[in-house]
Amino acid sequence: MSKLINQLNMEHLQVNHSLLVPSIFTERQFELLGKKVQEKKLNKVEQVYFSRAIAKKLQAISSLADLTERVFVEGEEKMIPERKKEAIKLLKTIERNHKGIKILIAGSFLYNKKYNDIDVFLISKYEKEDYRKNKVHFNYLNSDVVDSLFFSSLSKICVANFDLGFLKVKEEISLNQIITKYQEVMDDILNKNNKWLKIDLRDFIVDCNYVGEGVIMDSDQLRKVLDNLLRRKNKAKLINKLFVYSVLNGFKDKEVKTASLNMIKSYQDLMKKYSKFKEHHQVLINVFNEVLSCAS
Amino acid sequence: MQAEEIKDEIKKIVGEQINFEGHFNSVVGNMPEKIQLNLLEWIKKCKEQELDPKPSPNFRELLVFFFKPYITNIRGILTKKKNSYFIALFLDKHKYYDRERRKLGFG
Repeated sequence: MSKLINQLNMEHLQVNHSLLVPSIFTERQFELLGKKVQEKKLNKVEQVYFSRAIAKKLQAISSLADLTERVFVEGEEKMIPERKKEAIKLLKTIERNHKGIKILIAGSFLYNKKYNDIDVFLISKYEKEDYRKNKVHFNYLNSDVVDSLFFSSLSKICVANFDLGFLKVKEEISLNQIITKYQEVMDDILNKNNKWLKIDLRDFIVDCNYVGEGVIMDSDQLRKVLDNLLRRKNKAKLINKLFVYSVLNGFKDKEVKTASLNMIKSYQDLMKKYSKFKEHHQVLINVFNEVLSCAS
Repeated sequence: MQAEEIKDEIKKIVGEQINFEGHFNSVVGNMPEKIQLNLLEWIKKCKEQELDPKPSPNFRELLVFFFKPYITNIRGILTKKKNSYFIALFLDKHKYYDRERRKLGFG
């Protein structure tokens, strides 16, 4: 039963409401099932009612549908067929040791001949440490991550043991988020911190494409854009342009103007005290001025 | 080094007023010594204006430094009042770090 619960989400339930109520569940039972799916706490009466009236029905449905054997594949057209097979095999093995947990295999292993490791994501209610076993990197994610842009991007090419068709990005990417990620990327360039640049730039590109174009990039598209940017000598200029375009396209002019003015003022203050970074601060001021002039 | 020893070292660098936040004691106490030393070195650099702080988009008077060692999932946030004293050093695993960043206006 826990596995069937694992496959469900609220959107899934709501879409199928008329099929489920009253044929299988009463309205009250459906409501409780919804609470359980959303991992809301049930009181004692509800717990007893759930296990007596609902869990048994789920068990029966599960045995008919054989949902425990289901595998969901997204972005199959980009996958190397042998890797897809390997991933499904690996998913089944991991499932045996992690019963009732949502598992997803994603990343370059699925579509790129060369890969560093196999990324496995386990969605858990509890905080757990990530770990590595041979080539497999086990990443634990909280269940609230499912609504995030990061997860939507990740799951565009993946093999999973749960239905991803109903995923929606509920996370709102704020202007502050874009500005602070931009600061961090520029900081990585300043400090020649290439390891962090790769990580921070990846997040920045995903966010910019989402707010600026409404596009959720898959990991393959992202890798190509990232590699292309990283090998360029003038990457800072291109990143500046991406930033200016994304904030202007993704947010209201009034909000953009206020934020830009604040950042310009902050960097002007910083220049006085942190003279060592004067040149770097001037670049950032120029970029915020460009945003300001376009938004006016 | 024990957590209290590290706290004393940090206070010597940035002043007694500094607050320690996050699961500071357990995180710093369990750090490999090399990372502990990196942390102290990083704080010195912050104090000596060798590192570039980031202005918070939400709090005009706040400057923020991020400690991101590549090899562990431990992260730090050192906050400073503009033109004034260091406020707090937050140290925790990256999941809590992300939460703390958002509170300070960093998405």
